[in-house]
Amino acid sequence: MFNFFNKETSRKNDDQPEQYAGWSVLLDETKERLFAFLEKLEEKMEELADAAVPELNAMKKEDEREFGNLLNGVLGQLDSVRNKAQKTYEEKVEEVYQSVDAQIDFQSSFHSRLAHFREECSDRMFNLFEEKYSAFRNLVMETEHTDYELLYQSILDEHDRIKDQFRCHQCGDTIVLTKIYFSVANLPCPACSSNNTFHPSSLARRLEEVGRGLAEQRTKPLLEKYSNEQEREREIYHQLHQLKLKAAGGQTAELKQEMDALEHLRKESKALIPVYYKEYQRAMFDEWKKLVPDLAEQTENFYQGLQNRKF
Amino acid sequence: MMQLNPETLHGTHYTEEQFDAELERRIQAQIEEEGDDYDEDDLPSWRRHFLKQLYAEWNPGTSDDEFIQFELANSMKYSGYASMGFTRESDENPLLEPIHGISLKDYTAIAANIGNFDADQLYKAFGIDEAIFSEVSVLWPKRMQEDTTFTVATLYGQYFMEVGNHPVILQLKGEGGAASGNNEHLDKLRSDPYFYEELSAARTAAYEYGIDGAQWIEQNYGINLVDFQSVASEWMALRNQNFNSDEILHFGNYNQEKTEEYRAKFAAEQGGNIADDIQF
Repeated sequence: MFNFFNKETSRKNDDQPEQYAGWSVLLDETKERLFAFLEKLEEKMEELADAAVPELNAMKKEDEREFGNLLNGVLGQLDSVRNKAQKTYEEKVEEVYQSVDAQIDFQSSFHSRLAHFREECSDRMFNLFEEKYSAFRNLVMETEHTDYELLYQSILDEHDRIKDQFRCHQCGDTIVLTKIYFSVANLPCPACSSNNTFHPSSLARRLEEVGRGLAEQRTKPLLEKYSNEQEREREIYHQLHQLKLKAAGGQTAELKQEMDALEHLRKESKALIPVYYKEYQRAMFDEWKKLVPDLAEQTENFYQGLQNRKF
Repeated sequence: MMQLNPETLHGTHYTEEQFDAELERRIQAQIEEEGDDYDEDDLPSWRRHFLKQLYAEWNPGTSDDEFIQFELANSMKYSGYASMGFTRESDENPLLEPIHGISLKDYTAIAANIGNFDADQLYKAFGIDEAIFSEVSVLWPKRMQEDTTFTVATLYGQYFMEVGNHPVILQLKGEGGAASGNNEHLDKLRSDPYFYEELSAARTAAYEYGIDGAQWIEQNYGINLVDFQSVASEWMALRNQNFNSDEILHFGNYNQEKTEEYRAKFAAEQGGNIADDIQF
């Protein structure tokens, strides 16, 4: 009454071995087209990255703001290529798959041929193409890297250069800059006591941010130690999971021993993770405080707050 | 239908203490049940699970959206952080104490109005000078870092909606100090959610084409970044205060549609995307 049986028959009528040859040609053609299409898109991404990276590197030194716009633009174009790939895949490959799939019977011998087609195409699209897209994206993103050592050193050099150059607007006497000012400061003249306003350069105004960036850069090995431990814990977890699956089919004393040993390792690793993170955080914040001593108290409060966070 | 307290959104047929005690009881029971398997990291998700369960049980007929609304209104209490549109000033919070006499509200008003007035005139109206404002501009953002509940940053966002109405600013405007006049696009941005979504979408698409999106809006509609952010805060607070997932989805889709439209427009202006000539 719901036309179920008629549908069943019509599907079976479509699923005739005479049709297999035609479908085979269609699948082969679609696959070849997809592979060629993606290859051309990958070439475009490569051309773009090759041309953009030197330009980005030059712009980074010249103008941070323009660099940001250019970087966004290049990433936007990489994304447009990826969107085109995904959209085309949905339209062309999935459509062919669905239309053939609708015509064949579940038990048809052509089913595995069709499944194989989809597997090959999706592997090309979602593994190989995606990998290449990510590689080009990372290549472009690398230009964003800021060398904070260099930036901090230029703040120090600038301070050395100007610290004895600031003169009182009233009497002309030297007002020595006893520290790196990173905000506008009113400085009294030691000779005539009149008030002088000192304006730090745009570079010096970045001291707080540069301090954090440099502190993070200098303590990166500790952060890596923490991430490595996280990875190790995940690895042990997966090994344990495999053993558990094996044990489900019959547990032996040997297997049990192996599982206990892994469980022990995992507990050890799990306990180390927060210890390593705290070690990194403490070192990073201490370094930051050292680099920007004027804000050491506030930076310490920031650290303490993170330790007490409820979520 | 249950009666809800308009402020806390708790049902009025029980007390908050009763609710909290039951919530705590369920959480403790769960911790006991887990025994050795209990992981402290899971506590926030257990808390949310029982909060939702209990709210639905004690307030039958409330929808998922009403629960989210309740969660937003009580986020500080149950989750430990502030929510836009639900955060109030408090004299007891040391992180909100004025810095060099400048409250967070003052700081927001000065920072947002710096382009609208002569800077020295603006500082003077608040009884400070350039040096103090410069220092305060370092210290208020530091306070935001110190504050793990996000109260300072959330209030900053809320105050951003009223930067034109600060008494000192109103006084300055009265004295004819305001540089920028009214702008019909800005009024539309404030009253028409579709227009707001369209400009947000245009901004996103602009950045993807290497264009400074904030500048693009200023050039084409005369709305500067500060005003845009102020209106963005208003829409965000309004959406939190009248939480409706269908509406959010509707405007999300509209935003997506407009983003595509502007992508096509910017692409056309730049002679297309790099892979336009490649065919399947």
